[in-house]
Amino acid sequence: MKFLRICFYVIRQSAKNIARNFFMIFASVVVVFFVLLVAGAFIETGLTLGNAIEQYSDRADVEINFKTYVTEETANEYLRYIAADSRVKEVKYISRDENIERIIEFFDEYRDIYEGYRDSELLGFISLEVQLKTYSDRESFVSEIEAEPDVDNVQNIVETIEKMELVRFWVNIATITASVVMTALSLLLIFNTVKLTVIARKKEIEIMKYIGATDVYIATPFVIEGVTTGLLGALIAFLSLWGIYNGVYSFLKDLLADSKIVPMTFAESGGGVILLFFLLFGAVTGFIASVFAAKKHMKV
Amino acid sequence: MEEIKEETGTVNKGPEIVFTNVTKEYPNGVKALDNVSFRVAPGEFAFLMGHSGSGKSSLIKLLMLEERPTSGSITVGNVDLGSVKSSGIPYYRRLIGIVFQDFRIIFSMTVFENVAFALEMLGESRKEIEKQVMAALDLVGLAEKRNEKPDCLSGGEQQRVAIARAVVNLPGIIIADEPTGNLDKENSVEIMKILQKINMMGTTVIVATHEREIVAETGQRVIELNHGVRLLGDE
Repeated sequence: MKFLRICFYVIRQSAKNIARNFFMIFASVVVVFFVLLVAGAFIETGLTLGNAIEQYSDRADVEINFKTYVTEETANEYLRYIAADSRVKEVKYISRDENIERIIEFFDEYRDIYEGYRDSELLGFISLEVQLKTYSDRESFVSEIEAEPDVDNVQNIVETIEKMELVRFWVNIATITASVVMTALSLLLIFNTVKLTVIARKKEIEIMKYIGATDVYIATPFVIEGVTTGLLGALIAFLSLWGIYNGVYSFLKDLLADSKIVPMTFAESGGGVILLFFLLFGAVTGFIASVFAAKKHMKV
Repeated sequence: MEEIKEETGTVNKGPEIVFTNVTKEYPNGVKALDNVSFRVAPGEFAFLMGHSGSGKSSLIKLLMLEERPTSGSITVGNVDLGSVKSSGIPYYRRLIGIVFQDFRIIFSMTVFENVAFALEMLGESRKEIEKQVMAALDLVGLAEKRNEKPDCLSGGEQQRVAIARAVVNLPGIIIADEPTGNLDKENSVEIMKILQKINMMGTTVIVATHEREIVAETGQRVIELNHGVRLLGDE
């Protein structure tokens, strides 16, 4: 019972501290918010790129789309010709119907409109999906095929993936750098906020020490203050990011006629894991900074 | 920690204080106390007299375990202060009430809150806090001013709040470091009367002062220090 009463008393003191140092705490919360906003934006971009890469990874290395006039017979000749190429591992024939079905599926919400064009020659084209033996042959192979008069376009999926992987690599580097710098900034600011509170209450701490308060008892309100600062910053940052990403996601969805755009982690999962990560980051940062500040400045 | 709690738990009201060949030398070479020995009997009232720099404050710091002696031993009741670990110091300090020259009360709190502060820390119930705080405020004659803020009080009243805070958890020892240093004659006499009243209840009281007039008026035992050496104060 005594322990519970002590806990309640300490929590009351913490609440008083927070109310008393509202503006200083607000400044720290703003910094934590920006830290997580920037780091969160990088993390989300990295995750979204990951989703995009995953989507592309399921596809063939190279997709050859023929012009609409190309017949099955001509396409099969190309298939045999490509299959005989020593650089090619596997070729798959995609018929007109299969391609139309794919388009209709892609624009699922507008299925009815596209169904009307099922027999249109404009939509119907034959494709070949090619898996190459080695990626190094890709460029020469693609340029040769592109030169063929019956070929409308060639989708070089591997190149796209590679470009995205490169972007993801730099995004990850930026994420780590930003996280380290911003974490240091958060730690420093929370440390200073708590330090100023400790200094402002130096006399009180001195009295508490003389009347037999333990270090844990004296430090706990400051630690609660630090953790609260971190948690508030994290929560506000999460809500802002969640709002921004949902807005962007909805905008893109509308813009691209509800096609299957790359899913964003926030919008798709509701951001549960990211919220947890943010809160953990806020709590741990606040805890470490305040423990150090309290420990360093509590000696009387 | 438990060990200390157990050790200090055996110190009851008014324990004996024994200094045996205590020397305190600071890292800068200043010797604040030089081979000082004395004994304060359980429930005794003793003045610690001496000019500025005589070693009074160092002696109090040793008693409060703010400092450790360079050599010699100090015992309070059956607790050898040399054996008290850092983590045990708060528990030891709960057995001592301390009063300072500059009062050291918190101006943002009311009189009641300043005194209750020490009990809140121990997790006492509201009812118990109310009872003990009012008893302490009655003792120092400030029950009527329980809801006042310290800046509405005179210097003498502020020192009485500090005394109430020191006695509220019924410590065995009260140490007062120049308690009348910032007060006029009338208030000084009043404060000394309160300290004597507390002593009559069985609490060991040590008052550090340089005011001979006050010491003479009370007629209590004197332990005199001069440049760290004990001059007077036979048992």
